[in-house]
Amino acid sequence: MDVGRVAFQKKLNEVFYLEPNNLGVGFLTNFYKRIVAHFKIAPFIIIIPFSFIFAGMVYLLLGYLLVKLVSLLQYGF
Amino acid sequence: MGFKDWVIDFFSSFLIVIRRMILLIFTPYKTMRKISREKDFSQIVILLGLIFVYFQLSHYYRKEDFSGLIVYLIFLFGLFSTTGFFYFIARVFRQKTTFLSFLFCFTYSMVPTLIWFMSNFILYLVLPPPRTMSILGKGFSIFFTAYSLSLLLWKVILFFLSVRFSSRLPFFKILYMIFLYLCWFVPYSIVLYQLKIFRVPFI
Repeated sequence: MDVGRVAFQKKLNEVFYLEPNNLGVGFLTNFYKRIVAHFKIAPFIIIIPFSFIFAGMVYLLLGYLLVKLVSLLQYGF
Repeated sequence: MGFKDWVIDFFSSFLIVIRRMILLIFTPYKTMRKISREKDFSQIVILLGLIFVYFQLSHYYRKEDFSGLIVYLIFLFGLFSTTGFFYFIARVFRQKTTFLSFLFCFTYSMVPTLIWFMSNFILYLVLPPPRTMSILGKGFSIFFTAYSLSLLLWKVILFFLSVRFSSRLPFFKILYMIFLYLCWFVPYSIVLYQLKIFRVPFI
């Protein structure tokens, strides 16, 4: 029983380690919490498709400039 | 503590670092929260050691005046300046913060940077630039842009979480701190670029 209580206390301490964010306006805070929830666990589920769509759109917009930019970035190591 | 204990401690820290690098991909929030309470210095030494190995390796192919060690020391200066800056500002806003918490978080937030630079270095050897307008060249360019953007977004998330868990400040104050940080870090990066030390800032 004590072990369970200690574990529960430890979990509570972790959860309340930070004060929840409050952006001042109700709908903004809700919006922020909805967005941030996706980035707390496995953010790459969103990040990878977004990056590929974004890269494809940038290629359609810039064309050759993107290819040139990548060449420049490849020298950037 | 004998040599045997030291070796065991070092390897257990190494395993923790590898485990946390993987966990930062799947559960960045929870993992960064744990990192912000960390006190095992070996983990910092291991991460900075990996970065040192990268600088030494890349130096052989960069063909520039500055040695890998000098570039590494400049990187360390940047890392400690960043840590010190955020610690100082957080202390102005709130008293209960520790330098160690910032140091651990910022060192772990270098993981996406290290992965990008290391993979870029390997790609430079396997597929040396410049890229062409062939289908393969275009395809690679789109892939590389998406790959770089993914790592950049991961980096932004880890950087934000580092400041959030170390300073424990609310969202707008963190944004303000990051804005103040960029005010000096962007010109600093431009100077390093002009001096041909970093083409892409190692942040």
